[in-house]
Amino acid sequence: MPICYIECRGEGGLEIVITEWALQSYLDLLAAHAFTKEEYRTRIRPMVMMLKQWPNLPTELERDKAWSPATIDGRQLANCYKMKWHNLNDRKTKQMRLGVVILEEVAYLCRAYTNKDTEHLEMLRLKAHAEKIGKGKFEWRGLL
Amino acid sequence: MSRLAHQSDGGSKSEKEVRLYRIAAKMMDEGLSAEFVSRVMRSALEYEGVADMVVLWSETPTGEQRDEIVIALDEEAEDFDPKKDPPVRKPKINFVELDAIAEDVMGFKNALRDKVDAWGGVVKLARATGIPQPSLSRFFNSASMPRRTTLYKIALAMDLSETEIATRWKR
Repeated sequence: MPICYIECRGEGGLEIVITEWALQSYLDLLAAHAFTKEEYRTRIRPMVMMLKQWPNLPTELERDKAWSPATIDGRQLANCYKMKWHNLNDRKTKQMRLGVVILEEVAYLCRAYTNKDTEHLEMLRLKAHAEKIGKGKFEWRGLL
Repeated sequence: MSRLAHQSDGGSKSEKEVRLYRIAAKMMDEGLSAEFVSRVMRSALEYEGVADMVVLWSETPTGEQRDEIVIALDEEAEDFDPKKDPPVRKPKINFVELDAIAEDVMGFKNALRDKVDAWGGVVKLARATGIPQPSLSRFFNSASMPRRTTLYKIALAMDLSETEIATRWKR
């Protein structure tokens, strides 16, 4: 049974937790110039902040399939979702994806990645992260 | 307690466990270290997602994709510590600081890489530490903070002192 190990918010929507997986993958993507600081400020962060409105997410997220349940071979992974951004850093990054686990009124940001060739593997990692989060076996790096 | 059930497979829990053990033997045959394989298997018996990754490894031909799976397995299994109290809370890092941190991390890793090359190279280091070679290559090419456990394995293999592996940014 999933348990919320971080204090959950009462009013005001979802709490957004930055996990160690998210932080380390962001460091990698930043060093690889996957996105610019301006894009982080104007496109990436604002979209992630929309998660606070869960489960009534703004329609912007439906555009370009920016938000979707995470699936493997067409089967949905429990509590797992993906957020997507297209054409970052002067279109050098075609797509960046961020795995998100939502459990008990808390959104946990997991790995961000840009390599579409490893999508299946990333989904399995997200599945493992959801299991670890459910057991409290994860590292917390603050709130967004 | 293990909760094995590969997402695309039927079969009993015991059959799935046996399948994992067979893959473990195959991993050893293909040159992955006993330390790595044992760590991965402990994690796979605990987490279905990791077990699925092990099966994916066995179904993927040798090459870049399989190396990616080894890197992922190494990282996921490194997380596994049954004694760790949930969850570990670490200090936050502000986004504006990330650029400088990434630069520091890469500077540290480049300096360490020079020492490794002078000592005998990554292939020799992989043999001496038991860390898979793809993981070590990713370690030196990525800006993510090094794990303390990885640094200690490297230091012990190369007989480096604590100060030689000292960095502000580790996890």
